Amino acid sequence: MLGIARSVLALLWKEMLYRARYPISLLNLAVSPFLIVGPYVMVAKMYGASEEFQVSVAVGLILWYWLSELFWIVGFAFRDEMEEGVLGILAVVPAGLGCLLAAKFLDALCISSYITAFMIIWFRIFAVQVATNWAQAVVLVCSAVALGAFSVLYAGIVLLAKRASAVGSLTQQALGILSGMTFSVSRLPRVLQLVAGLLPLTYGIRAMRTVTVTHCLVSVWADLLKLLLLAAAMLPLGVALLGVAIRRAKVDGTMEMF
Amino acid sequence: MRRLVALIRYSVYSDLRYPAEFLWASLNPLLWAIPAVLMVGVGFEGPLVDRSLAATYAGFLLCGAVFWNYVEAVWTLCFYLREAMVAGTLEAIWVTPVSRALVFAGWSLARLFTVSVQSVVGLALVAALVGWSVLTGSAGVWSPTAAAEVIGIGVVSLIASYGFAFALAGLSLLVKDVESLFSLLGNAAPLLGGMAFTVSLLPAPLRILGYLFPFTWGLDLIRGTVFGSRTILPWGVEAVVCVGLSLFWLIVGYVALLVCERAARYRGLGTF
Repeated sequence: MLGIARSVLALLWKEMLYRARYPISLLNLAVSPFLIVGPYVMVAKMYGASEEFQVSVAVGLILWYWLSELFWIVGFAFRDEMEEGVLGILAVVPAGLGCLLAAKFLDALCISSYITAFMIIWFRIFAVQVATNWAQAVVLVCSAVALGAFSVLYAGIVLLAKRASAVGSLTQQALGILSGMTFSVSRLPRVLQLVAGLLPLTYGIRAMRTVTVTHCLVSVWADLLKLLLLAAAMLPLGVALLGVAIRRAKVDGTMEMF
Repeated sequence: MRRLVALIRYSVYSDLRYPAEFLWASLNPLLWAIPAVLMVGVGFEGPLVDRSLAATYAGFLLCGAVFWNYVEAVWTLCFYLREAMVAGTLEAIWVTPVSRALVFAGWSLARLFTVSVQSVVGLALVAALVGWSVLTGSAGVWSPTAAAEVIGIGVVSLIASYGFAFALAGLSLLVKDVESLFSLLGNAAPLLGGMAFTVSLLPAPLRILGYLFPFTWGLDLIRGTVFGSRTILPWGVEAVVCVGLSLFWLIVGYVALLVCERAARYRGLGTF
């Protein structure tokens, strides 16, 4: 167990070193996410939305960005290594590909936290006061676990399809819309509400909006439980799909090529 | 001409090689517009605005998105350049008997063609789903003058876009790994240029930065014509500002490309 933890941390350290090597990419991560989500809040402002409305939208967008980061980092975990020509090597080292996936997940958590901190600063510069509290951190971690499990499923699709950026972008945007990142899901037609009920992002956003106001986890325990149940349901599916994709890549000899 | 057509065909084939990517680019403006339209039209306790105003906002947003798609289509020529650097074919392309300008024209015209197809798809989808049509706009049926104004301002904005593209291409040659910088610029420019909301909502320092972009003025002028909305400056004055800034950026961009290329030749063009 200790060996696995050390392997995961070593792989995480490798990711951190990559990021430190290109400071401009860190600057980009501090600024670009707000440039993508900020306009929605500015539009709400333009139409005279209340401060509470603006904060609800901001919180929804922050959580959607967590999904986005997990999708790109965990979802593309193996694709990136494949492109660099080292996936085959990583597959035969004792640490195994599971450790790589875990390291990518932790990397996504670190990066998403970094992005969130800067997004909150930017929102405040634009006079949108997003309050922070410890309960939000718990909701974010629970949401990350569920969204991470979802991203493992996507990692399998990426490995099978090789080129799946468009599908990824399309899926992220569709999930954001269905999960109510800029509005309340309760105002959607019944059928769409049922679809939203199957998505972890819906519960994550709802819980975040609630704890931002109440500062209390008790009011969102049901949503947190649903997040963890969805994670438990999706992770085996993702791992199974990933297993199929890796086996196919080994048979086809495409572990390190396209 | 045959060389130009060959370059355009090669670039279009590359774009169409992955249909999912093409589909995503077509749906992109719409998928960005939907959350904003649902936010104002559905909201939390109730809609922020009534249905017709939400549809008009969808048009406003889509107008901005399509405009930016065209502007960024020209910028992407620096991505073609970078792809050629990564693939190791840049030096081979540079020494072929095709002028530099023709290579750039081929790459960018191919993207403009693809973007035109994607824009028509996007506009048709919005007309079908939201009910706002660019053919009627909000200012009534288009007159020949209005059409000429929109096309003219669009062309002027594209000229400015070439200036930016030249500067970015030069930077690619010199710095090599500039993806993060492009990403930053690509995300910042639509916000500063008022793609989703009027620039008057930006804090003062960012608003001033936005005014340095010719695209801010170009988009404002086009919206002024399509929606009949009041422009930041009187229409004629704003058009002069837009043309002046576009020519300024074109010259600055081209000079930057020449300077950067000369410097890059000493370090090696096709390697990292």
